Amino acid sequence: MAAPKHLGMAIGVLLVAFAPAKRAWSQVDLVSRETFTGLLDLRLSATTGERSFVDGDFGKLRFDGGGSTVKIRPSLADAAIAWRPRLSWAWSATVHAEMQDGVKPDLIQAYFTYKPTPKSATRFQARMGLLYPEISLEHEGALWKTSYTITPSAINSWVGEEVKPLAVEATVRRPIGDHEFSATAAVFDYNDTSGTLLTFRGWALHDLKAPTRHEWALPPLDNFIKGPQSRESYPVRHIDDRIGYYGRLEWAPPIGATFNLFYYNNLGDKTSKDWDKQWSWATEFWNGGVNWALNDKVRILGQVMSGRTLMGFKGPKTIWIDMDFASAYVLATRKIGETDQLTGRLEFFRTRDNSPQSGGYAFANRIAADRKEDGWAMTAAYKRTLTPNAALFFEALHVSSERKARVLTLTPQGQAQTMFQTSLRLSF
Amino acid sequence: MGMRSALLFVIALLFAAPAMAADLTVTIRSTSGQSVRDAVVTLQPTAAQAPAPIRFSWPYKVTQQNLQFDPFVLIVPQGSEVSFPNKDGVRHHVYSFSSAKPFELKLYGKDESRSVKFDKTGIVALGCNIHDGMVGFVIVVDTPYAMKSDASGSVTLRGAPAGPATLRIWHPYMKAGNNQIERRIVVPAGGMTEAVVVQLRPAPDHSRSY
Repeated sequence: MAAPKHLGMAIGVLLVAFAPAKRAWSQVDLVSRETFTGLLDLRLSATTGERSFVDGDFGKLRFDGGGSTVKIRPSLADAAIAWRPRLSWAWSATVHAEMQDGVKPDLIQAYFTYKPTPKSATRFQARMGLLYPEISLEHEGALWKTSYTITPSAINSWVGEEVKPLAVEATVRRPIGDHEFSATAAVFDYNDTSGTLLTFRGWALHDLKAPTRHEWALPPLDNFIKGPQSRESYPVRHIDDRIGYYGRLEWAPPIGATFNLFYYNNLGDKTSKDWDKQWSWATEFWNGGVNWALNDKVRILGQVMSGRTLMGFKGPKTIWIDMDFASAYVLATRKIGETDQLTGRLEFFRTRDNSPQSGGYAFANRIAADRKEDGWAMTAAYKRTLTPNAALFFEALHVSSERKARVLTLTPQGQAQTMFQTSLRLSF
Repeated sequence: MGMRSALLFVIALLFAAPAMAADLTVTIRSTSGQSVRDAVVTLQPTAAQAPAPIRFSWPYKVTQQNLQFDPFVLIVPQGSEVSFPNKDGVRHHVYSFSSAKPFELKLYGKDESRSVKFDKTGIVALGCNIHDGMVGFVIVVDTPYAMKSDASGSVTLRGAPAGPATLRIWHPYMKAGNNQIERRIVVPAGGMTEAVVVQLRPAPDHSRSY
């Protein structure tokens, strides 16, 4: 529970350190109406298949399925608020909290932004605090909400739940001829458990965001790992004393497309743990992204992610956990008229366990401890902007996956789920 | 002025003035055949001009509304004072680092305005340091023959002097050196119509922000 305490202190110290000089007071805006952004997401969902991972099961979706029948659930899916005070002409802050259906109310992001007025075509920006690195092409704004669908891809669902570090990040942007380039470098901590949920549950598709002080439930664990590892995973934790880093390059040639490449490594020592049985996972991944506007109406997005996560000591043959993970999606979206937007997305995901024997010698547990997964999903969404402050989404999503560890819930390894959702987003 | 010189003056006016003022119409299309709006057409006559204050019919004003600069492109004569009223519910921070006029208007809110004097000719790209998606341009000129194209991609410069001149067409997203093409033309006394095809690159996408 060290994270929020340190975080609060860090914010306090920075607030004092960067308190604006007297003459710049006109540039300060701490609590005007303009500094607050909020959003309500009213949801009606109908879901088949497994119980949700939110309840500690293997279900891939945010809401429980009704098995072979449909489970209907109206909910206030999300009530979010962001406070963005302006501290001086170049410094601002973002404090973002949410009450998400299925997760305890919590702080989501809290960071400072330093953005001086450009003096040339080279632009500079720095962010520091608890924040989402720029990986997702599907999220936007202070509240980090999805733009085209209700449910983000498996890649960005995972970013939302386990890639939220306390980081110091700097970005430089500059055009060279008709091409625009940007480079970001960051160091971070408090993301030591990243990879836990992905390992034990596998990939998932949902629009939940990592709580800061609270936890994710994990599905049942195999007989070996359930000794050392808690059934709860805290996504924002400092366990070992290693600082991780990430970097990002972006290139926008004058063809309406932007390409980016992102690399993350939390440099975890794999073997440190705290009293809550949270471990310092060693997680690294690459993410490549393309955002291509074919014309005024049609846009294609794609991301590919590939990484590896390790944890624990050396077992009978290998380290306790050594897993490769990969996923890719393609999303096409088309504006229809002034207010509507139609989106389709296709994606694949997989994990490969490089340490299946680590569960011990019992045959049954070897299956339970095999983190191998293969799956795919298809999503269609329709968005209508009703007013500048209201939007209505309809979404149909089908996800199918094979996972050996489902033996732990005595369910077939292959599972499919279909979900229809409608969401009314009201912002202020 | 004597009777004779007055008569000569009238004759000169009768013959010279109407004969020498021509209307020049320029239509601008992209290589894909679409009309190009917001292209700036300027005509610089080669013959020396009598210095006279230049005045355009449109207001010298760039409003910030719906997180955009309106107009996207504004042409003003050199030495003009341009106002930047904010009509949005949020505050803006307008700046430019263009060499023709680097400036910065720090944060100001709804129904407030600031102004900037543009004393050098050239292209001044506008940005808002809060909203990266806001892009606009002030084009500072020293010729009275300047106008931007409308939605049909058309511009008519009225009363241009007949004779040799330089015609320039600029657009922020034109694929050409300095986003501009230049032609030497001779404006006939009866006026002329010029069709121009330009190559545009897609407008940069600044819609995302982290």
